[in-house]
Amino acid sequence: MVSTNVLLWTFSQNAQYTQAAKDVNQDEADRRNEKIVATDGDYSVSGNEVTVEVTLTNTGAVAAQIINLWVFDTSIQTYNYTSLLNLSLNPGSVADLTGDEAIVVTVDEANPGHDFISWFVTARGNTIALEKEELEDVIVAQVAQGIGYLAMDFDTFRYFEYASDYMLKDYPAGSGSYIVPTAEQVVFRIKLTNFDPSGGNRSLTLHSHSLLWMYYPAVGKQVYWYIVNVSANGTVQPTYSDIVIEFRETTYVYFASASDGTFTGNPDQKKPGTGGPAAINLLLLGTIGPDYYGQNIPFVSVYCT
Amino acid sequence: MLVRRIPRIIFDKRAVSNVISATILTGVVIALSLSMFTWAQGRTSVYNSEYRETVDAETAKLKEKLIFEYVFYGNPSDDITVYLLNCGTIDDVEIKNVYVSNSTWLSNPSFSTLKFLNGTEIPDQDLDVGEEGYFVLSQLSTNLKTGAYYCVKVVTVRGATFDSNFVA
Repeated sequence: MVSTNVLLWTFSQNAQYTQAAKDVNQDEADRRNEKIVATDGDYSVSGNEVTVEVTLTNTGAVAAQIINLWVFDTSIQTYNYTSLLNLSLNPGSVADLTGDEAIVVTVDEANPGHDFISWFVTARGNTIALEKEELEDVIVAQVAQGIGYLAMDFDTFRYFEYASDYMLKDYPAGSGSYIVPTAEQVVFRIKLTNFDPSGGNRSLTLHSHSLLWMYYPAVGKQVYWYIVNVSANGTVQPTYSDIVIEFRETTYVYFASASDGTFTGNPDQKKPGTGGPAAINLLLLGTIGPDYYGQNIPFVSVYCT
Repeated sequence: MLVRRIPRIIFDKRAVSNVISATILTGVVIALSLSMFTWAQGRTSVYNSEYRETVDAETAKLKEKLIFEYVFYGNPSDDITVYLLNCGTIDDVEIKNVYVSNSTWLSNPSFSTLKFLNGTEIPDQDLDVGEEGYFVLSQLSTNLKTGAYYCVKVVTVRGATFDSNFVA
């Protein structure tokens, strides 16, 4: 009887261990079947905040929960993470984490010119490296004619009228139409991104000689506006200080003044002055890294009424 | 009276009746059986208890699973920061020892208290299921060579080991 008891007890203990081993094996199998792909990754930096845009696809056979995103700044060897709540993916589903859904990670002393790597961590303990969007594709698609260093965003091209000598009207929304008033003094705003394709991740500095040049082919007339600084409240600054665009940084650039490097209010305000279709070129001058830089971007057409 | 009876009982040469002898023998056998049973029961109980403890310990060890979210060496000091996630199915995973090694060298550095990822100290110094934490390894016996390949191994109190490689 005692022997039977011992035997049965041993069997029950063995069954308990076997069950635990089965559970662990099942967990391991689930872990191995979990497969998330992170594609089209892109980083943008503002202050210490690194915004990561990415598309996550669950190509595995099991549902997965993403718990963390780690970002490592390889340029200065700093890193941080952010917890991701409620980011779960069923098999086959896609999470488009771009725009408002992009993930922000605070990394001390991050800079747009820095290189980043990042990875997600799932609740089962898998790590998923983010595959960065190919830079070459970005350059060809976004930079005017696929040449040069700066990309210009057509969707955010705006002009402003003046509310006073220095203050812009309807700032920061402005007017997005490609129809520009002929008789009003205007300021143009263009969104530029530094896509230095050299691989050197150089920052680009725009000097005061940079200007926006409007040409009327019908009458052979031309008008130009020099680059200016505009403060956060929409005030044009009297003296221009160089604008630095770090690698992959996107920034707004304003063209307002009749003078190179200064803006004195009404005397330096300019209007198109001629009706009809006009071509606009950007004549950008400055430095990129330690080298001089010059680029002419023929980018939009407007109709002046 | 009783004292006077004892020598008579001892020196009495007459046979005991069959009934009485059978009763005595049966009693002795039963007594021996009971004592044997009790002894065996006791031994079995100890065996069962030890076996259960072993099985429980092995089962608990089996259920432990730590993964390394990140291992960082360097700036600004020569410490190693190890970020862990308990993705197993058992609570109270406590770290007993940590080793750093490469193919020719092994170090058993001291490690800091276990902290949550937000930097606050974990009160019970263990990781429950789904919990994340980190510790810092300091006082390595030698500075790691930048760019070289190393292994960090974590040994838990239950005896499970987990390791990860990193580049210094």
